[in-house]
Amino acid sequence: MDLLIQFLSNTGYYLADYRNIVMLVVGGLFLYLGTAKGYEPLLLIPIGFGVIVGNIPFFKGFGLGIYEKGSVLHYLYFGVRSGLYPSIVFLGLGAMTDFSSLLAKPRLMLLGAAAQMGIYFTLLSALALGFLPKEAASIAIIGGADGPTSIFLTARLAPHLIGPVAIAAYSYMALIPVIQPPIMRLLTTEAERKIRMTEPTREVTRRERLIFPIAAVILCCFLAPASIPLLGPLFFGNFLKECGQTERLAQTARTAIIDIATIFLGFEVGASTQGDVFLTAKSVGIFVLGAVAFSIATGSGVLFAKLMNVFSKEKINPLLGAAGVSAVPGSAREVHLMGLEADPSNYLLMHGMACNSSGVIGSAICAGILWSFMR
Amino acid sequence: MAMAGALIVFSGLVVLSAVISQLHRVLDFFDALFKRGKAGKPPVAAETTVDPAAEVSSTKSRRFPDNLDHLANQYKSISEPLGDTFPLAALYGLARKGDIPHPHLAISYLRQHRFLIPQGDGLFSWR
Repeated sequence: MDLLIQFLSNTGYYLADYRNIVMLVVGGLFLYLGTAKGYEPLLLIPIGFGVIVGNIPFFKGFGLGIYEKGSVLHYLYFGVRSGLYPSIVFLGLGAMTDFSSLLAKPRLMLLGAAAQMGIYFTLLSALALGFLPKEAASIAIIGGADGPTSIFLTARLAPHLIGPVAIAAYSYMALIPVIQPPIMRLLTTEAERKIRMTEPTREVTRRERLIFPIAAVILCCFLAPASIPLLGPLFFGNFLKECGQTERLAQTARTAIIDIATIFLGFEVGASTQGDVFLTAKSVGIFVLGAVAFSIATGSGVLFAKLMNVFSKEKINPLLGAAGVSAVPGSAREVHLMGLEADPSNYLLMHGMACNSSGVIGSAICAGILWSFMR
Repeated sequence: MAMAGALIVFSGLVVLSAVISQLHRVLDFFDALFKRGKAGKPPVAAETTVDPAAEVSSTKSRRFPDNLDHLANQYKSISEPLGDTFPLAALYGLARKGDIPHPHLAISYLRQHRFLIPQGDGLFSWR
């Protein structure tokens, strides 16, 4: 009888508290959004399932939980804590990114830079709200709208915040269709949304596409060496794709390798959100500031595009500024759809992708800069 | 700190964008240099006498495409399995599969010159 009572007192039913239940509901919501609504399913489904697994109550000391040394989850979590998974994701991202549209219109790169302003505004806001500098930097990077970059920087600066920062970053990436359109509408006029982008007048040669990753990795990493773990794999992956001799490697990087990293990254981040660690006042602050960061990033991109139009003869559709965040390809798609709404024959997707790729580079540089500042 | 960070990232991307915007010119320059070197002319002379007309013609020769009707016919033939209306992404995918060079640019041109007509909901048809 004692054995039975002891067993029952070790079950999840006995050990559960309200925080576990709340997080199980959150995990279920993520699964619902990913499965039924199709919002970023490749991210939300692993995270959602991870949240559920991570919030099943267990007897502490058995070596089961993600924060208990020796557990399987703890070993897999190493890839998150060390920044390994984000680097691998960047390798795959590089192998699947075509920088041709950016090479054809290099000035769109400035929109990727402008959209990073949300990061620095949020850094100041988080500091003003009393977060420690390293925590503030980890929260601010959510404004880059890049999950792997957010996880990478948070793992370096404030590992105790990985769960909330990652969940906030991925949630806002999934909520792009809800967050960005009102901001774009608010900051642009109907006439501006109808601006047609001129098509490039020359082809981008293979040699340009080949030299770009080499030039970019040197220029960016000389400027911010701390971004090497992200930009190194990104441009290496891109070189594998463009060089024409390593198609097999590029194919593996953009399929199997990135998929494996995404599965473990999502699942482990989800599992790290144990109710007792995750449900705190700080997490609420992180979610609020993350939303602010993302909104400001969108707004600053749009406003900068309008500013460029003041000085430039060749007008830019200011909606493209919103694609300067690095949520690939969600924000480019949203810009494209809003452009189509204003003018059904205005096709902005490729230009949006150029801004998006620039945003990926920009947010990785920002992560490197913030890491250097906070060391 | 925030201001410094913003300035650094901005300057980094401005430099990168300036470099890639000049990349094709640098490559053209080295091409011209290489061709002249091959023809037996001294490289120093080649450096100092880059003929602007030659540079323009070199850029012109890389303008794309020469014959839009031919391009449209090529893309029409590969788009047959897609039916009368199709998303551009599907056409792009078929062009990539068929190893047709520069599908992004080609499809942009075809759209710009109204060979591809938007039918709403992101679908296009041939003129």
